[in-house]
Amino acid sequence: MDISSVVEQKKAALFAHVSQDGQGIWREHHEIMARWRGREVGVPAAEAFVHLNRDDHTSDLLRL
Amino acid sequence: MNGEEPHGPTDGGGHGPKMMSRFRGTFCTEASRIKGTLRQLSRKNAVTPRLPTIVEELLSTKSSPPPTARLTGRSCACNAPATERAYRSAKVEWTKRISVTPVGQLCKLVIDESGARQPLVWNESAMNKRDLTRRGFVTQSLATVGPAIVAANSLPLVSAHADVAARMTVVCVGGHPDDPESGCGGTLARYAALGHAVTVGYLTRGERGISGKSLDDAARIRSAECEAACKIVGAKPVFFGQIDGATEVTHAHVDAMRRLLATEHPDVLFTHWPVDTHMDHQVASMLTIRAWMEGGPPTSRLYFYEVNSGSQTEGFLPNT
Repeated sequence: MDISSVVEQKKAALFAHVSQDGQGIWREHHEIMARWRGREVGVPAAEAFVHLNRDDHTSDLLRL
Repeated sequence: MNGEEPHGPTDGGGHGPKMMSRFRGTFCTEASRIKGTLRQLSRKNAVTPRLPTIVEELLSTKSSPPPTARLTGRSCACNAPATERAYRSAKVEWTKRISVTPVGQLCKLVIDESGARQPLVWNESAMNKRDLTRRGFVTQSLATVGPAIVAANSLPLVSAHADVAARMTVVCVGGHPDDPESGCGGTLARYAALGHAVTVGYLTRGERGISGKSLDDAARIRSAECEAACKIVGAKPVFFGQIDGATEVTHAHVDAMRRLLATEHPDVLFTHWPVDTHMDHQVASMLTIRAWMEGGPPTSRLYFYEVNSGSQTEGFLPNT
């Protein structure tokens, strides 16, 4: 899922967890993951999901 | 390397052994760095399976530097013209090998907006350019295939602002404060921005997450951080009341989760990928799965997200 347009929001939400060093979590893990997932689909930043689908073989995020 | 092919002897002044040496150095460093990263990611199953294979194949076809790189050093210092000829020859040979297009196997069809499948077309002439670098090849491949993947997996953006009936409920369950934000904070923000109702359920309040603080104090601090984070994302926080580091899967807890789902009636449900090194993450995932399965015919779509892939989430192969 392309999150390029909201990546600053995601960062801010993580940074709100000051006691957990949200900035460090972002820098060491999720910034890299977002970029990597983005590269997989050709966008600057993305989040990836596994859809547990019992019905068919499509794996779309509803309405996004 | 900055994505550029090292300049060859024909590119202007300052050529010869020094440039060859630099070429060899950058080639070896870059190749080994990429291979190491890919090995690590492959081990963790953290990437789409075909991608590392493609790049590994690409690297293995030229696992040793081109012949000119081996000519660097004293021998070529006294034989620069020979080095230049060898460099040209090797460069041509190298780029010929790079021009193979295994990426075509990655996605042969594009599904257009009407659902019809169209053959994937890429710029073959660009892929066969003689000066195409390895990094250029990978970048170009991803640029070509990426949009196809997005096209195949995306649905039209639907805003709920203008149509109340289109308003969906999105629920995300995480083990600790900061897990939902880490795993799908961006996606939740997108849903919220479109006017959909987003609820974030925290299994615990992260009671053991601040050293030197009592469980109650830590819970108070981290709950406030959750409130702040949810406000930024546009979500409503809910706490399940389990204790960080002592979470359990019991019928009572499954019932509590089921009650949440029955109340929210989510159209989209997110939780941790269940294969995780942190037990609280596994518990959050199991409770969600059980509640989702026991809640009658599931009308909501269940998605798993990853957190700290490689150190926590493992074996995660995304399909969305």
